[in-house]
Amino acid sequence: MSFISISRNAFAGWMLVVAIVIGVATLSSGVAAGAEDAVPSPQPGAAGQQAEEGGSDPEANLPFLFAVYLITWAGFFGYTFVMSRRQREMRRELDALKTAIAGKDAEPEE
Amino acid sequence: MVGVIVAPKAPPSESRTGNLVRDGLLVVSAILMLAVLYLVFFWVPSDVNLGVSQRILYFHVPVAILGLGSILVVAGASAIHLVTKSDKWDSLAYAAAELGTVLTSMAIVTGAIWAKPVWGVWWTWDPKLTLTLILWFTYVSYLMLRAYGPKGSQGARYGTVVALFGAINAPIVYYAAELWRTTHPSLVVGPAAESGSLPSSMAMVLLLSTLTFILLSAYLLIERYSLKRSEAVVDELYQHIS
Repeated sequence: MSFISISRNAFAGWMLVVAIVIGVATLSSGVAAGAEDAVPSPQPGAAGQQAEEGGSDPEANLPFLFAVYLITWAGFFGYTFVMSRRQREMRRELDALKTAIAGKDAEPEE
Repeated sequence: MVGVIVAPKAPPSESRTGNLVRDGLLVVSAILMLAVLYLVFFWVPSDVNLGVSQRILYFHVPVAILGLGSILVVAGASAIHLVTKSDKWDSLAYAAAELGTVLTSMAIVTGAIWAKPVWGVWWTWDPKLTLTLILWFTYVSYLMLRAYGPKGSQGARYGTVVALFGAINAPIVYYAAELWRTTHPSLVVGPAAESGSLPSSMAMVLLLSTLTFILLSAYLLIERYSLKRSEAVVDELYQHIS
């Protein structure tokens, strides 16, 4: 059980590394290749309240996109990390229980 | 003495099939996530009006949908637990509530990051946003009630009431953009979404992204459920030896 959960957590860790590498590569290469062939979405979303920040530069909001991307991944992996820590604690508790049970078994019966 | 201590059954999710399903879900969701990342960053075209920030949709919408869906799982599992008295359903409800909290938190934060460049503000008291915040508070209330409230069946009963309140709120959150004049974009997925509300390439990426997040959430839900069952087993063992 422990081997499986350890390898699963390692896999999750590697996925985080890959995600960060892709994110950094995406940012550094100026990304969003698709921005060149932009498509109008039938509902631009903000009900006509377009802020100025984006301006005419389609890549101006790239840091916002990267922040969302990072938060999503960090959220999932943070949660996975918390769960793996709880699992470790659980295993420790089980070991303590086993010791307690073994101790009780060893006691001479009256 | 040996005969007195009867070890409770191990959680069924620890079986070989359970592990296989979990590992399979993790691997498939990881592969799909890489494909989604490629499509989001390199393939799908940007929106003319929103530019790059429109791509936030591919992360925000799936986590928001799953955050909404989780409360229905919590309410459903809690209700079944009340009827059947089976602890498995209570564990499922608790696991879904915890996952729902994570997903709804992510939906609120990613939504705020989307709003800043588009609306010019991080937050506005728009009906949809406010109702989503209420949903988040519902999740937190549920978890706090279970952690600090009465234990056992009474705690589960109180939790069910909170979960049912959240389940009533969920469809209102979903339809908020239709029910009130909101600044939030109208629905792009689900039964109330207009057909053709997104160009096909964007809709395809959004669909794939949603599927990926569903699989990843299913994996996390199974993991948390399994952990909760293990906690129950340990508690039971403590009771046996004390």
